[in-house]
Amino acid sequence: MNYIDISLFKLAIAALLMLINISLSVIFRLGLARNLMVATVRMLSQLLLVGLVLEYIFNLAHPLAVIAIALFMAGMAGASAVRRTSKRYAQIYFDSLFAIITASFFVSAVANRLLVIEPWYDPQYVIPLLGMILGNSLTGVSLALNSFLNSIDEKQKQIEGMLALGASRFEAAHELIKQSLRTAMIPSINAMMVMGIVSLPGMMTGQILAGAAPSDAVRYQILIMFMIISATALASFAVIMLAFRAMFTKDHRLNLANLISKD
Amino acid sequence: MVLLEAIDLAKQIDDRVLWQGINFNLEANDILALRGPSGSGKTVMLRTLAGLEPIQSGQILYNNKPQSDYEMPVYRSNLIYLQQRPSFASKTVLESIQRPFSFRVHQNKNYDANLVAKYLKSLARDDDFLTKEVTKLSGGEEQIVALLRALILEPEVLLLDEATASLDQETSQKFEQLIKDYITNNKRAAIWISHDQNQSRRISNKEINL
Repeated sequence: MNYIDISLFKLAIAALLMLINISLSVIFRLGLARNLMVATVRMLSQLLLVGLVLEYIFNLAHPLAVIAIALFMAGMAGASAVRRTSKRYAQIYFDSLFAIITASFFVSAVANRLLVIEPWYDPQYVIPLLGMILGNSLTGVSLALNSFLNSIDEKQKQIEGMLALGASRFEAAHELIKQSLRTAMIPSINAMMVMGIVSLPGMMTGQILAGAAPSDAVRYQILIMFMIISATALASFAVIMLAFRAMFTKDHRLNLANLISKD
Repeated sequence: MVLLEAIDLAKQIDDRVLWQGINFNLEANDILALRGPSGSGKTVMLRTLAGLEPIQSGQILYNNKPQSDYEMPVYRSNLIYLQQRPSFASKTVLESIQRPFSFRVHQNKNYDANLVAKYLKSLARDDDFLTKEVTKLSGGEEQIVALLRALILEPEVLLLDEATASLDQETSQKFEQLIKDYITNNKRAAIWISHDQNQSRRISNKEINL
């Protein structure tokens, strides 16, 4: 392939750039040195490790290994989505996992058949595509849960007021469901709005760096954007409906006892 | 004709018995005063009757059928609970009182502007009141909106939780009269929590002490 190899020596030189910033922070006592250092070391070790794991799996090229790593990635995404919410309920981890896995696997499967990846588990395609989908679904699910559970807590009187007037649980929660889905989707919608103008997407940039023709890279980017947006929307909607089911009983009562504040 | 019947209702929160052995009948034209000191669980009782809190033990029969046999939205459209401090999800008074007509249980009912005008008049308010924004209402005005919103849905039983607490003496009496007229003209009933002993005596023909 026609791209310039990066040796470990070159990486070490690049790390000096971080050292400049860390020194500045120490000299001017900006209090960033520690955070910067920890983040640098984490980024370094995580990426080097992932590089090794991916290379191992690429060489193995076994469907079970690919499925295992895909499930592991989705599991991490599902758990991280919950970690950022300020309110929770008992089955929240399960719901988040379920929403993220079904949405991301479904969209991945569609893309897989569209691209006619052979064999279907070819890790070179499957893993990077899934990774990008998961990253965005995670943000969506996290925003959706946070927004829905917080507004349930804040608007309990309004919701009960509507239930008392004969609203079904869905009618009483409809506004919140709508708002939470909007909140979850806004980053994705904004990203599409400015794509190519304000920002050059990372994947496209990467492909161009790796020697792909820009017009090919653009087509990949468009495909991945459709995948990302639809997976994010599906996962966010699914998790909101699951949270809705947890917060309301079948006989249309608000079940606030299920809501736990995280402290 | 018995509209609502409570049989041996009891409620306990943690280890504390809130109330127990509650029995009563509510018939058409009845106004029952629900009394008791603060913290005796009057609001919890009203919320239980409205189906907003589960029945812990005992039974609630509406038209001789247990509460649990009803679809809750249908049940609640017949027994409307007015919150102590009402809340509104819409922008103006008009939008707020029209909102419930979009619920499935009320789909056969129509918003009747003449009826609203009549009710407003009996509370000494004019039609301008409808264009007010709900966030700019006083506590008393909020209670008026909550009552209007409930009355135009024509419930069989009104569950009133200190419904006049924020109203001045004069409006409060007009409010009482409006409810009394509604009940006697349509053979309806109400359960009323009031801290005002005179009011309780004025309006009710039955009472329960918690």
